[in-house]
Amino acid sequence: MPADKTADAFQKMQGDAYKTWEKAMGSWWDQVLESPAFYDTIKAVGPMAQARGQYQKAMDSALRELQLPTRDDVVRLTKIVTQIEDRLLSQEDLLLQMQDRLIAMEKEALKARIEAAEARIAAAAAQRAAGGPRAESADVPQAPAASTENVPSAKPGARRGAR
Amino acid sequence: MMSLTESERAGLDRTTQLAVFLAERHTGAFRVSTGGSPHAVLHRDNKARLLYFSPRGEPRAPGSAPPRPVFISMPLINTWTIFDLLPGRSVVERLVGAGHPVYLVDWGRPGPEDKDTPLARYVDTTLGRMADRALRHVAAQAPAGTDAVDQLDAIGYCVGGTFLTMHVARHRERFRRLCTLATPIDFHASGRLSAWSNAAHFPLDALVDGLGNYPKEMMRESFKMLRPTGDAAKWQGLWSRIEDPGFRMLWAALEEWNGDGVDFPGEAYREYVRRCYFDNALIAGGWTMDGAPVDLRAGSVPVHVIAASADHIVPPPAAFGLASVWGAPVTTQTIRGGHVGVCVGSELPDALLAWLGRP
Repeated sequence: MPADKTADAFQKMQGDAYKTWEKAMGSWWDQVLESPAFYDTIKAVGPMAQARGQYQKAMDSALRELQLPTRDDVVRLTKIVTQIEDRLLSQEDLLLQMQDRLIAMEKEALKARIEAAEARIAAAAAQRAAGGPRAESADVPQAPAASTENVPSAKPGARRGAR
Repeated sequence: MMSLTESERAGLDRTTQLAVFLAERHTGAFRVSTGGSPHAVLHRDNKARLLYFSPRGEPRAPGSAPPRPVFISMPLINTWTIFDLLPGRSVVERLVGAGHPVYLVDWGRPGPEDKDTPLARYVDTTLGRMADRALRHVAAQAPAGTDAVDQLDAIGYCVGGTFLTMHVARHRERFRRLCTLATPIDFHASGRLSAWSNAAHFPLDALVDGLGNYPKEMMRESFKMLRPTGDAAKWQGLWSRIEDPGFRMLWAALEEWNGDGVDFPGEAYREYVRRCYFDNALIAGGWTMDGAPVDLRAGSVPVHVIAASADHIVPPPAAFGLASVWGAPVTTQTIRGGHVGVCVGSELPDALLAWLGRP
């Protein structure tokens, strides 16, 4: 038998042996992991965790008696820092919402001004076509004054700059 | 002197290489670096960070629509680097390579001070804030004179997908559509994990009261117990492919990622296990969180559900359960791989890019 064929056969045998082992182990584990004894083990983790919690509390109270900072103290301090950070983030959220509202108002105001200007131009053009006087009179729509007063900046590039 | 057959020599060579490789890893001579794609941190919220990966790829044809921004929610219980494990084995790399700006939520490492943080803080506040900041960044990046995208295409992986699905059902305004990957929804279809995490056996309150945050070590061991021969398969796989430097690198990177778990914040864990595993409330309903219902029937954006064929943590039926409750169209897809392996293969990026390419 040539050497390479022997090697292939050996490798195949190794692979088959591994698969057989894995299958056998897998079915044995299946029985273990689905047995009532295993579920009892899961339940037993609970008292162990509680014991760990009790130990931690006892350690903290011993350190407190010695007037030393405890793990609880450090956790409490970190929690306070986290809460302050959270409040700052909430303020940031509010500021961003206000900014969005201002941008929306600015857009509305610009739109109103453009519409008013277009109406004036259209009216003037209509009057000129009819051979009448230039449009300076009160019957021509004016831009709403209030809309511009409310806006801090009506420059078109203000939105992107603000961000 | 006894001569060795060729197969014996090959086996011996492999064993020697394996020993050298393990020694190199142990001494630090063989190092892997994961999460290497360039990125910026756009926002921080407690331990969570919003990472931004700017798009690369070929310039677009004039007038064609730019690839849409992608928002990714990673699982709270692992590090985000599984989506950017190694060059050539990275979901993020493929997405940015196709021109998509990627915004990824890395939850960071909650500490004991986060034990009392409720689940709603993660699902509603943090995810909402991250999506908001991502959209603001998208608007700031939009060329002048163009309308910025005002909704995101979102992807969630594992528990990150569960959180994202809940968020989108409750606050849809920032999202155009959703893709869930290996995301548990029907928890009672999670096989052995759901049998163990049953109110009759699992001492949930004792664990949270006693330990605070649920420790990563316990989580890792319980996942290992789901497939007890997995460790043997891992070593057998390494031994049989030890000559391949690429495989060695991938093996070491996966080992590093797997050993680098994250604790689950205690109170959030209590609510998650009670509602999802004990009550299966995402399917059965009846869950009120922070005063508002968690009702997946209210979901109104289209969802694409991807499951991994050999996933023993989130079997396909547990992921596809979303289709039975979600209030909008759901499409499903199964790709080859296990729960983790699916992230480092080439099928997942292909599937995600195909989904993103849909109108």
